[in-house]
Amino acid sequence: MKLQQTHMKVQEVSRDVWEIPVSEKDGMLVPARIYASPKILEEMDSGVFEQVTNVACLHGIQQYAICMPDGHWGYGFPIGGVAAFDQHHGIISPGGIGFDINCGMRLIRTNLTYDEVQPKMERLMTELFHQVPAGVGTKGLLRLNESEFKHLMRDGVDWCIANGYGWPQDRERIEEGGHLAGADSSKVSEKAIKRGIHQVGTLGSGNHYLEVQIVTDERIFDRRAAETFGLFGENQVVIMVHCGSRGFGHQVATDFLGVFEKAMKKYDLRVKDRQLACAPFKSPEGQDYFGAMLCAANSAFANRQVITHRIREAFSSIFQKSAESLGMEIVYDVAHNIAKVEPHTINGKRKDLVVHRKGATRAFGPGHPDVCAPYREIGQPVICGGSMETGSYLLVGTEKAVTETFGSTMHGSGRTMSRTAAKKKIRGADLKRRMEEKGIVIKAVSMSGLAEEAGMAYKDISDVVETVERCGITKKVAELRPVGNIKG
Amino acid sequence: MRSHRFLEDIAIADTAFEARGETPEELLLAAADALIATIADPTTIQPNLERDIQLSASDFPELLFLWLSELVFLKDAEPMVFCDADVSVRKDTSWELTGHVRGDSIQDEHLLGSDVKAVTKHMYNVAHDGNEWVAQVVLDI
Repeated sequence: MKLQQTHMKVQEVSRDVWEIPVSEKDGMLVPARIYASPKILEEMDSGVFEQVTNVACLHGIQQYAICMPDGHWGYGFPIGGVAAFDQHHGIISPGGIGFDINCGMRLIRTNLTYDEVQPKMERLMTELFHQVPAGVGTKGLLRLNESEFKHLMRDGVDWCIANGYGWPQDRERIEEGGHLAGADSSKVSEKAIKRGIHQVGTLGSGNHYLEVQIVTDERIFDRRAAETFGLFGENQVVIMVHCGSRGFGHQVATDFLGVFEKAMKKYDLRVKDRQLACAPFKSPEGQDYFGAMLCAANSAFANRQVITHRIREAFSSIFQKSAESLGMEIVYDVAHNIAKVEPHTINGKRKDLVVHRKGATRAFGPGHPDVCAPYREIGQPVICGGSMETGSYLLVGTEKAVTETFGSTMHGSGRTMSRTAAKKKIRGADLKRRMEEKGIVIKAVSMSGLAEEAGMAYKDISDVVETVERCGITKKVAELRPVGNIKG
Repeated sequence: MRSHRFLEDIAIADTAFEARGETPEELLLAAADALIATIADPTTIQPNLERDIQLSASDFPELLFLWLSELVFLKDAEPMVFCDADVSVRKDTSWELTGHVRGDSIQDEHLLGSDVKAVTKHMYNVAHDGNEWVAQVVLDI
């Protein structure tokens, strides 16, 4: 179902910004806003319009319920959804974060060019495939006891660095330093621990991947920002990682959806969709979930950190040089499924808000105090993963995002075709062959899983990126072209 | 007779299925068949591991949800992939389930599918339709 199939009034309030007024659904407390070009809006599934207006009905919501141009149907919130709630009078909802808590993107640079890497690509991808386990139920190479896992979920990347899985300077190029304060392991179930304890350092499956990419001169759009982020073009090799908190975070979300269904009766909260189950943020249930969710978020930062360590080891082994001499610094790491307490200005007043981003990325602009010192003059890097056939983008946040979208932007290209439909259109082996003909080396655990992620199943990421640029909520820095991909 | 079919248009980013059975037990097994096949091809998996499952719920839809969620939990916690299951249900003041699931630790010869993150309650529906129990379930992938 598409735009013309929704009965709601959708009006353009500025170029590529569309508003659904509160009159369109009973219970809407604020308008809904969708960022989309006319073409993207036309093709958006009708679930987005229903879901973003359902979000607009949640208690304590501020200003707008927002959906980004990569938006599509999700559970409760649409994917691409952003909403901020008053921390004293508003709610927190697992449906606004997603099952994969702190699913996110990390980009790692190298000093290598593709000319240097190409002759060793097959060996490199085989080594990466070995070092970074992917697919259903895989165990990571890291063995932790319960006490160590609890420290990891409390301290995130700081635990990794203290235990030899990172460099001290890594933390400043990770959102929130890779360590969110307030994580409370006593709020995490035994089941969540059992699901996650063996999975640190693993990719998972679905749309998660590890990709070796190149930065070409002609696809750098902002050379000053690119150089600040350590990208010089000339077919420079970089590595992108997309994954989250694995079974640990999935179980935390599952556990608390059950808790919140009961809490809603207790607090007499009504929602338009069961997957919007929520609790007042300051209630015991809300605070318990927040403490457990932060554990999962920290574990996701740690997961991507351990994967970074393995990537550095793989490159070091193949190129017979230290990772330091290969210049393998983190460019940045962003969460795109998370809720955080952030100060924002509402009607001229500073307020701490519970900002939910589900399939949306923080995008703080130049001068923002939460952007790390090396990048503060430029703004925060935003990493957007495209389909494995078409490439990805590095963007940078803007001041307009901070004032208009609670400092948020898109996260990827967004699906347009179901997994089942994609598998009917192409076989995994044929897709692998097609990608290898394009010069992309593929290592996949599941051929059916590979077929589900074919480029045709996604929107054109360039359309999405151009839209957020026209809206002024991020600017393009560079496009990143895939040359190797690992999938679960 | 139990059966399941995957639904294309319900979950763009994920996997949805409809399961049918003449009894609550058949529906539980039909839904498990769909979940098991999503994770890995059960014909490639030998029954080298068996795990017992006991669950209790206030109503049957919740029992089905807990049953599927338990399989997702075991997939990661053991970790294991599945070839088949059996189940018996007793309805007293609550719904009680005793089940067994068989499968194996993950091996190279297993034809793996998608790593299911969670069973969701989005468009979740369980109904007794004439002579059949019917469930619609969306799995987060």
